[in-house]
Amino acid sequence: MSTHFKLKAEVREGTGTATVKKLRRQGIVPGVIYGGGQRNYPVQVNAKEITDLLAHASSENVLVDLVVEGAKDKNKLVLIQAVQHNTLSRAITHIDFQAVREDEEIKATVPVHLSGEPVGVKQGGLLDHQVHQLEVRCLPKDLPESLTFDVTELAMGQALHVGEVKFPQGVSPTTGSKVVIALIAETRTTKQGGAA
Amino acid sequence: MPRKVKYRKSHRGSRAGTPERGTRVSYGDFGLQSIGRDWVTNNQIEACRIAINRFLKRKGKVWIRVFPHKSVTQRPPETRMGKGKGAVEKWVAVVRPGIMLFEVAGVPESQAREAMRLAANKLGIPTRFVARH
Repeated sequence: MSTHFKLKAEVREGTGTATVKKLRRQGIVPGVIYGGGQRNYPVQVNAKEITDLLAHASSENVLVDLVVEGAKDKNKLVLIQAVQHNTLSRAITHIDFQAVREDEEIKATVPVHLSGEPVGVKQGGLLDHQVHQLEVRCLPKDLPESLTFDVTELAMGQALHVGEVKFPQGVSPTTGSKVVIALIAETRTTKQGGAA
Repeated sequence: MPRKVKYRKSHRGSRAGTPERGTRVSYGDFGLQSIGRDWVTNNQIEACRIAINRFLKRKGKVWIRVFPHKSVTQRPPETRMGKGKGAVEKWVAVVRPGIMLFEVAGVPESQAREAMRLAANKLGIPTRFVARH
């Protein structure tokens, strides 16, 4: 189940390009909090703290116990909804927090891992991992860190669909059941070998 | 080069700015990312594809993330000015810093790194090897 990270934030006074550029130069990442039946307001977090947090998290969609200095309701449970990065340096330029309630279902993107060596790969096929992240719907307490699916049984030409895998209790996918997670593709080398 | 275009000859356009999309490893496990800004021709892209496939001995899977949509015209040598725009000479992809050029999957990192190094040698822009985050 999900681990709650802890993070400090402050209510941000200034808005606009010039102000946030100044903040970024001081090692502060601008952000915003929305959702949870409250008014949206801008916040700021320490760049090093948020970078460390995301480095230790399995994905960018994680639950955070946020302490907001200067806000009416100081302690909030939030989901990191979106993270904007600099294209080249990958430094965080902006962050979106979505306030969530413990008893309300949320939608989050969870990383997908595959385990085991498929039968098709032993025959010379190529494991094509098509879906690396999957959007799921669940309560905040049930949010998994990652989803691991066993692909040992997959033979050449077979595919693993969303409808065929077992999700943890309380977690359901938002995508269609026919979406392909992984498949065993015939490589050009095996095709030639079969033809010869 | 494109099979069919609405207009054969285009203006030079702008190479300024930073890309919003096409900057991450989206399909494979490793990629070659541009850190420079230039036009990459269809011949360069094809040379890279051949270099990657030759090194990987047709194992794994390769994705080409850029496409030469833009036509570049050139006037013949020793021609007087006028008489309209020159003939289409080559097709290019406008590459800005951060654009993912190639991706590979199904091969170990050492092989992917070497394949990308060979591909990078065919390009006139600085690049870097990146792995999926």
